[in-house]
Amino acid sequence: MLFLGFFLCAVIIYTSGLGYVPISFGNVFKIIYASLFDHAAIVDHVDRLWPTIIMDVRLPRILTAAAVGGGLAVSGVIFQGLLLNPLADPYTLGVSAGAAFGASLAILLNISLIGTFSVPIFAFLGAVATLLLVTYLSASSGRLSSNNLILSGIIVAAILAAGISFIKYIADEQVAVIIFWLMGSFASKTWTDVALTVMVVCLGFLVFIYFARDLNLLSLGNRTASSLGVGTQRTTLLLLVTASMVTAVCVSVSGIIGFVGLLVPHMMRFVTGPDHRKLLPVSLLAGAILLLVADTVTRAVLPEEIPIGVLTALIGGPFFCYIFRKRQAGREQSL
Amino acid sequence: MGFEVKNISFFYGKKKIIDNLSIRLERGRFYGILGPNGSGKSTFLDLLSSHRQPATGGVFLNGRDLAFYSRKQLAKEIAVVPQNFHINFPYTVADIVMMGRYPYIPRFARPAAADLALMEKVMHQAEAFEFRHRFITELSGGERQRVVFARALAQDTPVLLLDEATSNLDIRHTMALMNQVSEKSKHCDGLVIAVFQDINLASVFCDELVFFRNGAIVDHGRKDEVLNPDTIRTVFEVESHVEFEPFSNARQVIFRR
Repeated sequence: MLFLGFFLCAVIIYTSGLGYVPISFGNVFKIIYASLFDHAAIVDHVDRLWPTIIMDVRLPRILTAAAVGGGLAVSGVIFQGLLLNPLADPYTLGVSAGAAFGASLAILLNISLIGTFSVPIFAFLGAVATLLLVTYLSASSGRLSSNNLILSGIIVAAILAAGISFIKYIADEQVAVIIFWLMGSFASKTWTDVALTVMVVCLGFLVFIYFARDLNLLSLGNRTASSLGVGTQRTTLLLLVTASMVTAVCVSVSGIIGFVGLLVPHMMRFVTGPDHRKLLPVSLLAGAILLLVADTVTRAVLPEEIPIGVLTALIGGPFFCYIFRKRQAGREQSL
Repeated sequence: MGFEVKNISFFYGKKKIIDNLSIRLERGRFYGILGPNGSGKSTFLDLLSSHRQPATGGVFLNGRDLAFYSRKQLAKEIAVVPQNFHINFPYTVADIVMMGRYPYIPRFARPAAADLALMEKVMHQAEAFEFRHRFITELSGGERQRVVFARALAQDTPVLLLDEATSNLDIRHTMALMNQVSEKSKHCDGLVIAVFQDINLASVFCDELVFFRNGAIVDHGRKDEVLNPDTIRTVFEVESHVEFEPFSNARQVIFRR
């Protein structure tokens, strides 16, 4: 875990150096150190532009990508544990569809009441409204059951998907903007985005790790959890809402980025086992590293920037198939 | 001491599952619950373990309403072995058994030496020790049931609720489990309440039998008093012959086609 932590820091510094203007690892370190501790003297010898490139352009984007990656990964862990379903991900409850619908609506109607933040805010509202609707639908039978939640999530997401198609159909010029937003991007993120996502992801993570042991019991089913001392209804609802909030903030900042929330918890479960007390922190770090690396690939390695959501699905999907298949084969051998 | 159940009713939607039921269940005894499918046996255990709450009436444990216990306190009083047990995540057997100690271990603390010792002991008791490092997802139904039984023992509670806990076990493991459970009720002043399908098994091990039908108790008492053809006929609508069987030292029910 410590190793992953160091690795994340190293990746952050290293990727800050990559891009149109390459800057060496040592110089990046000096620039960050200088601005953290107000020590301008040690960067005298470097190019005047470099500190601006690092501090105002690259770092906000990099930190946002890391925070979103970590947030999506831990939310994925929570959803899989709570819904007793290893195939669940942060978007299972329709949160992404809600966010996408909100964002598309804002772009279509060209809403700019709140300046540049109107699209993220609409996305967030859409996500939260969807979450409320889904929990309301599934709780109408009196109890929150994972089957009900998944089913309601799928139904609501299907309705919203149709709504998004309709919006795309009636939008003429904005259709490209909508599509691009839906595919996700970290381009032109600011320190405000960083502060927001890092704060929400950290708060969410604290809640998750506090309930990590209860989550172990909940992942065995409600009856088991309640007989071992967990207030199932309350804990489930609290974790569900927190995880959805984290997801909603991530989506509203970055657009829809698939596969991180599904892939990372799975990969890490091979490493740490299903105990959430270990799985959560490791997933947080691994998600951050993964999304950061993916974002760096679209930003600095590829000749033309492609949407990160497309990249994560294109690389993550086949990779997932590979490890899944490999594990199946391993199990057959051991029998 | 034990359970006092006063006039409880329970509904699924509009359907009445438990109908104004009252019973006293005393410490130091082993109760067998028998009845046809859908007669409310499992729901009754859910109500005793406070997994569900009765619509009317109350369940009292040691004189105190279950509603006034915290979940954690209850987890130290009552252990449950549920009927079916599906797990999608590859916990090891030792992980699962250790979860029985969660109510005793503070949230961020490591298990103490005493917890580990108890864990080892119960895994031996349930004959799950040899596969303690295997994944629960890769065990057979019977092995999984023994793991869950070990977890319930690890909870170290005076009350043990079993919902057809031997349904997947072979006869040797069934005997071993039942013997341990009945020891617990006899020598440790424990209270064991078990739902059975097998009337004869219940008769061999239980002290008292409780017959359910349509969410109400038809008959309840010492097994020698209540186990007779009349009860079997009213409860199950089946003709039978009941006789004392010296080898099992208990009354046994015999059926014919």
